Amino acid sequence: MKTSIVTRSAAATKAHASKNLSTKLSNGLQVISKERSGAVSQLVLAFRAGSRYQSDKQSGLVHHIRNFVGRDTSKYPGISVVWSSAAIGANLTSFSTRDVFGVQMTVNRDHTDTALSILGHVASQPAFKAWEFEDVIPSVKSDLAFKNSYDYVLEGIHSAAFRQGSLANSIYAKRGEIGIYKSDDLNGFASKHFVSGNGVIVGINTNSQSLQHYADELLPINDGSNVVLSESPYKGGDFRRSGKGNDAHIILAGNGAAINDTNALAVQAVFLSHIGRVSPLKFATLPGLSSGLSKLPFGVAGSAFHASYEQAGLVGVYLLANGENANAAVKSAFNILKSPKIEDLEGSKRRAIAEIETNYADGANEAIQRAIIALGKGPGRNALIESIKKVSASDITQFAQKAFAKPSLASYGAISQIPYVDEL
Amino acid sequence: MAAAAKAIKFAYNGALANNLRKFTWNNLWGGREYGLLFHDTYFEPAPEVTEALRRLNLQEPHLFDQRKIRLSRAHTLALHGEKLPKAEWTQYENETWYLKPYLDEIEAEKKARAESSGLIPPYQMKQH
Repeated sequence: MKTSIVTRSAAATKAHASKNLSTKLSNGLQVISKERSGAVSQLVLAFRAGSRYQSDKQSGLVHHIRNFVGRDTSKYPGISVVWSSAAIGANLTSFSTRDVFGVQMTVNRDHTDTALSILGHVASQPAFKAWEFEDVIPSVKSDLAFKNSYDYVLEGIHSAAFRQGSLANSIYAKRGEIGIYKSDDLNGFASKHFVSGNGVIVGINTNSQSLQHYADELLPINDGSNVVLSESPYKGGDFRRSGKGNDAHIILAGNGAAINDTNALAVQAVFLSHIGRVSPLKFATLPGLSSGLSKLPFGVAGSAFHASYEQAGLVGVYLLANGENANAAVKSAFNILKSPKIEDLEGSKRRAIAEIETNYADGANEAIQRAIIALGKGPGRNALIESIKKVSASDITQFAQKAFAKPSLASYGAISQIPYVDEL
Repeated sequence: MAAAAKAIKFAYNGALANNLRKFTWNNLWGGREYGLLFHDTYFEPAPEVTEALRRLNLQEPHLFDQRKIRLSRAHTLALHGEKLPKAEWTQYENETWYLKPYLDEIEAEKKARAESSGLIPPYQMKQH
């Protein structure tokens, strides 16, 4: 689909200095465009339609919706959609978190307009035809088969921390829930959530004028207002699932910062950089000597963990222990988290800022991150960095006290020695 | 009831075509005296029609069941060499071309397949 403003070749990236854009249209759709001078455009159309919006009777619905991307839309058959995106060399993927569901296309910059036209139909006008279920259901089954240990504890920590709240809803369908949804169920959810007031369209390395023109006039999205959020406050609890082998995968978490709370996010970022993340280097297992996790017992690997959602969040550590040292690992990790002894506050702050900047420089998931932040009304990179610079040691100790007053613990594997949360 | 027929778009929709359609339906097709609709008598073994009926069953099972009941009644009548009394014959106003949307979609898919990968659709592959 060509508009009057089309970037034709790589030379255009040098010629046109495309402006950055961040607006909200009259129908409520947010439009974000960022110029990174890259050759690959990342396009995301995302909605507040994650698993937290499932009702009690809709457990596993978003998993089915996610796996339906690439099938028939209301106007074009799935074959055409997938073939045309392949013809322009685009990658078409769907993603969902607890807050957000979206579709991403990454494509060579020259073909952004065609990719946008495909993306609009795929994300906002899925048809969920009744005869395609038999093709989609095996893909849901294979998603479950590919879940690894970390996925189990990740789902477990949410179910432990948020108990019966909507944030405890898993992004995966349970085995018994596969295939129980019909066309009407999916269509009902889509008509409520895939609307302009609930969505954002993000373009990285696209021409911002053509993105705005597309979003204004050509995007086939239904009008609608944003969906009201139901509260899902942090509660705290246990999740245990035994598994084969001697490994114990553990997430110990507390009440973290919500995505729209800049100050809390800043304090949390410094706290976590003190706690330490596993090194990205190949043979290094432990974070640095001055980090919190260096105090873990020998043989236990740990890495900081956090998850931020609208109005709630989790913060903690992910531990990999074995059957014998799991008890000591959890107790020691809890002490590290609850009373962090920060020796080098400035260093932690700088590492936190460096992490944000490195993430920004990487850019592989930038479109998705921007979409999630826009939908959750989260802070931009600069605002967060400014906030981090102002964090003090007392902020962190207060944050840690408050967060781990009622901790949550999720474990999978050799769990016989792992204490319950009220024993900590 | 006429609204259901009106929702269907044919390739030729002029006055002549509509009159011809009505004439052939009333006089040259033998289904109305058995209480059938036109698509009840469509050639079922054709792959496109089989697929359309499968989709009808999945998407609108009520219509599929009604079709089955009409066919069962018609077959019973034919078995006994009977026909319905004239008052109970299907009326042209009540005709819904219920398979047409599905058949159109299947044709569009065939075209899309031919234009893209060129692979034949699963329902046309030989059943072993």
